Amino acid sequence: MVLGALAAAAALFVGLVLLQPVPGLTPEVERHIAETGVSNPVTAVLLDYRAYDTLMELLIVVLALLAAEPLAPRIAARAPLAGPVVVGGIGALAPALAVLGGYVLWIGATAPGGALQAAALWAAALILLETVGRGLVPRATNHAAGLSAIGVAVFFGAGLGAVAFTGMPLDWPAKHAGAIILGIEVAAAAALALGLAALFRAGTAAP
Amino acid sequence: MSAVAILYAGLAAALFGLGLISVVLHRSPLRRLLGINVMGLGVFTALLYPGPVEGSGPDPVPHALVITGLVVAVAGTALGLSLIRRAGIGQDGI
Amino acid sequence: MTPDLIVDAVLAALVLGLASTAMFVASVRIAVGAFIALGAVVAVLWARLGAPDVALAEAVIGAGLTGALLLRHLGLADEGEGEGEGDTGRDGTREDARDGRRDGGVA
Repeated sequence: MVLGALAAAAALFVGLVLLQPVPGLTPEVERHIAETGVSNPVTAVLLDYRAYDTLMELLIVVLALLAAEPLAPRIAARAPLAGPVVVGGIGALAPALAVLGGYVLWIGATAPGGALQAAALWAAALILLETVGRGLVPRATNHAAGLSAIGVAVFFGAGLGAVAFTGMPLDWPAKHAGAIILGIEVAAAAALALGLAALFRAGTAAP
Repeated sequence: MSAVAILYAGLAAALFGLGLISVVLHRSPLRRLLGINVMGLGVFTALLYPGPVEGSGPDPVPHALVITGLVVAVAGTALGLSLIRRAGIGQDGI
Repeated sequence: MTPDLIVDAVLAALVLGLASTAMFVASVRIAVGAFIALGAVVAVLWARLGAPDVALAEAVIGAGLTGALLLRHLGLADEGEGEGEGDTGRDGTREDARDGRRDGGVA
């Protein structure tokens, strides 16, 4: 088995080295970037050219949560942390993380950043609040997944609504593409943050 | 083929191989989950690998693909850890 | 060798060392720690590959969230064990001995 694994790794190396230079998709991405309303090419790919992928990725997180949540816990979660330093510190850190996430989301239109990175920061804030017993993620089974699904539904609905304007699902009208992408990013990041924070907690009973 | 391209190709293959060897050798499910994650790092490095693209800078399409992959990987890891805890493997859940 | 290539080579060596540790060290605790450090170094490497968006995502999601998930899992495993066997394993010695046995011959 180890030899098989080594052979697979060697094959990957040889395959990568033997790849011939290709133009890549950068010219295509740059040709149409004005129609996407954002200037960061990665955000353009994630929320416009390949918005389909991002929508499916959100669905995967909700499905993973739906799968993980009903697993009856064998272990109770820890009692919330107490003490003025940790509670006060997290009380100050969580809002700062939320603001930082908002900044990362906003700047993602023009510079490195975006909804997924923002979602991870927001999820971190939610998880920190959870550790001091001030969690915002609903505890009841499937409630967090339901809330996450609302964000996915906003994305899906917008994608479907685009048909009326451009004739293609998930193809935003160029004039308003920037604003549409920002709105979808907020919904997607909120859904993702909630989903990731609930996944973090899944499988443990309430303290 | 530049030296840096060969370096990154080797790194991607080594990460993938180390992860795969770990997955087939270990019996602890947590160690296997770590192995799958390291295999993922190898695959992502291969996707970001600068070798085959010529001309105007890095290609944003595989970058977006890898970002999507990272989120799917963390969701899968969280689900895997929940299953390991539920199964109570080795009593200590490790 | 250009300075850039030397930096890349040093980072690559670090990645290989951390990955080997994360995969084959006997203690599961050290393995998880090495995996988190690996995520951070890989993020730096990807930033050097001209992929700052991916590097940011790897730093917060790969190293941050996955690391938090793994550490929490270890903590929960400790507590579950404490309830069942009256041994929290907090000093790590028993834990390590057990890991060594289970993964014997691999390290």
